[in-house]
Amino acid sequence: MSCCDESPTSLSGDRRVLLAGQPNSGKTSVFNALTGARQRVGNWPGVTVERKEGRCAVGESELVIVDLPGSYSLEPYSLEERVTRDALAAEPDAVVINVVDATRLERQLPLTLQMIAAGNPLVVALTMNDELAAEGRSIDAESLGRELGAAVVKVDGRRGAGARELAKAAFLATKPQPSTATGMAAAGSFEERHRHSRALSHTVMPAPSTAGAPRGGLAGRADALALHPVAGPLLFLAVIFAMFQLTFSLGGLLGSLLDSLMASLDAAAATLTIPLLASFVRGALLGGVGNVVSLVPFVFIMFLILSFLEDSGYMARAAFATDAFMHRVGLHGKAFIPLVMGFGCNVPAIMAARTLESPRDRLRVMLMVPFTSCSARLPVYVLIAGAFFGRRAGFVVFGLYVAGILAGIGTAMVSAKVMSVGRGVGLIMELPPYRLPLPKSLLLTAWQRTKEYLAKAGSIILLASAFLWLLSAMPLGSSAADSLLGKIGHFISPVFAPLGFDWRMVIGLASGFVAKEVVISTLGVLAPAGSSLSAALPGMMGPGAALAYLVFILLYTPCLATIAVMRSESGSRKWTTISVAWGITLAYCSAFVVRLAAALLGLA
Amino acid sequence: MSLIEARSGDTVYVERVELPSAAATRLGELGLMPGEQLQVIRNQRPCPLVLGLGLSRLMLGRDICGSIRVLQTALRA
Repeated sequence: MSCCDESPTSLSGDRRVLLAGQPNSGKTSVFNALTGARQRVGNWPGVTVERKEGRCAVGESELVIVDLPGSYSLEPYSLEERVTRDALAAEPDAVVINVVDATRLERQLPLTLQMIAAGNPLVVALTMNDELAAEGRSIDAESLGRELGAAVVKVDGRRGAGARELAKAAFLATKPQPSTATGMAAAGSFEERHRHSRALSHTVMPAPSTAGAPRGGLAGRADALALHPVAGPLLFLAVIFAMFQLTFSLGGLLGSLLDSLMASLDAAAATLTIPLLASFVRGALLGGVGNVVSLVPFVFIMFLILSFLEDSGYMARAAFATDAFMHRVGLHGKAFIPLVMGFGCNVPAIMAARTLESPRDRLRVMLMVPFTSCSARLPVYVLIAGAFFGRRAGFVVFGLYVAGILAGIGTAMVSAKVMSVGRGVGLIMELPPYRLPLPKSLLLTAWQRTKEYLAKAGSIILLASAFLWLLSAMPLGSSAADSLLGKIGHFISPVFAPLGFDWRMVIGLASGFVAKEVVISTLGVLAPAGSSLSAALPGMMGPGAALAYLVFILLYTPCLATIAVMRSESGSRKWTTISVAWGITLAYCSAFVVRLAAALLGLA
Repeated sequence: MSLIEARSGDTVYVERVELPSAAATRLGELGLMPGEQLQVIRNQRPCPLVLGLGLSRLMLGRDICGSIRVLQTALRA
């Protein structure tokens, strides 16, 4: 969908646009309003900061819009700010759309002044004008535009109003021609920029704000609960519990539909006349990729809920609620956000650690994240716990999540000792107002993230499944146990004998190193044909070994992608290796203890 | 006095920020700098402080608040 169907005759050719603004300024809404679903997500070269690019038609031409990470300033203080500053410098002719929250004009203008100094063609997009109007105030956009020497367009990113005007202004933008005072402030010091911003905001917005006018109404009552020393943490636990419940119930509902589709496809594949082809389709495609694809609903719903928590403003309250607890392990509340995001996927969770100011805090959170059970581990739990523990499977899965959190906290405590961490700077965070997220925006974000999961299923998991299937089918006509894969499994399995894992389980773990979903596809390839995987599992392991297996899967390295992201985000091969080694050691020891305890309880 | 000593409902002026320059700059970018008026919306142990700064709200860890010197400007509510 394009934002603009007008055909201004003066417009021709494509134009590059960089979308920049402070966190919580409504930048994502403006990006969505301009580009609709025409988006592509990637990474900035050299760093793993998410890079979104979209297109927007203006008459015959197009704007190629790049969404820059939210930044408070162009000083290279955090990784995001470095990316923003470098992007502006690398493309001096690219138009900058500076998204500015009208309700916080005074705090946002210093960044605008830095952008004027950067010299790129500039357009200012004023958002949250409805919230400002609700307070009985408005900004004189024309005066502001004259002062800044750039077009100022009021936009309602949520409803899309003003997006067309903004796109056109961006297409026609030129280098800013600020007033003398604004130009001097833009080139001046930090204090000068702030002083000028205050003066400017008072000029263009009559009736300045009163300090700390309390937020009343529903938001005030919600904060009385969310920011309460006792009720806040309890509410946080309730929110997390509700997130899992919703993921399980809604995901299960949709997942069962996909399961029956997979069963029909499997029945159809069984009728294929070429046995080797039938074996490939059933083993590698359906057993491998199909099992992973059937879990898409769980992943999508988890991402949908996490997007809701982020966009509604609750995630910042969660940081508040967990701050006191995180202090005990030498971190602060903001460090908890990546851990919650880890329930969705460890890769963006490790990337989210970049919002922490201290490099040491970032590293410690990166070491903790792999222990939060991601959505790829969830189906492995559901499958194995369901096959062995029947009605108690839910408790087993919940126990695994709790065990993962405890392992993360333990890791934080150990890392605090090893790195001799003192008291850090502490929590510095804006508390954004509550906002009801737009369903369209939530669906778009969740879909973008799910698409990455699906792309993984179509590439790396397909390759891994096909490779494993090939190893399990060679030499032709041999049974799985006598195949090449079987021989490899038998060779490694003595190492895992104390844990009660047979060769197939060991191959599952080895392949799970690529991605956790591959554990299922591997077991699917190795399970006897003709029965469902959950029915075949009791023939492969006992309940004690199954429990130990689950604990091992929880604690060892999540996937190759996580390792790669950790390597690039931490910039340290040493700490990445330590993280992997620590995870495997902890997994082995814990699985051994669980196996021993299970044997004592008569579960072996 | 330090900001940590202010009570919920107090209105204070920032006198000086005694923090490493990176943290002080970040606070400045969020609008908290000498001369600014702050409203202490919440100060309850062991949670961070919630502060009103114009129309924005800030959460600051208790350690940080201990390093911000403020002057009280209004009687407690």
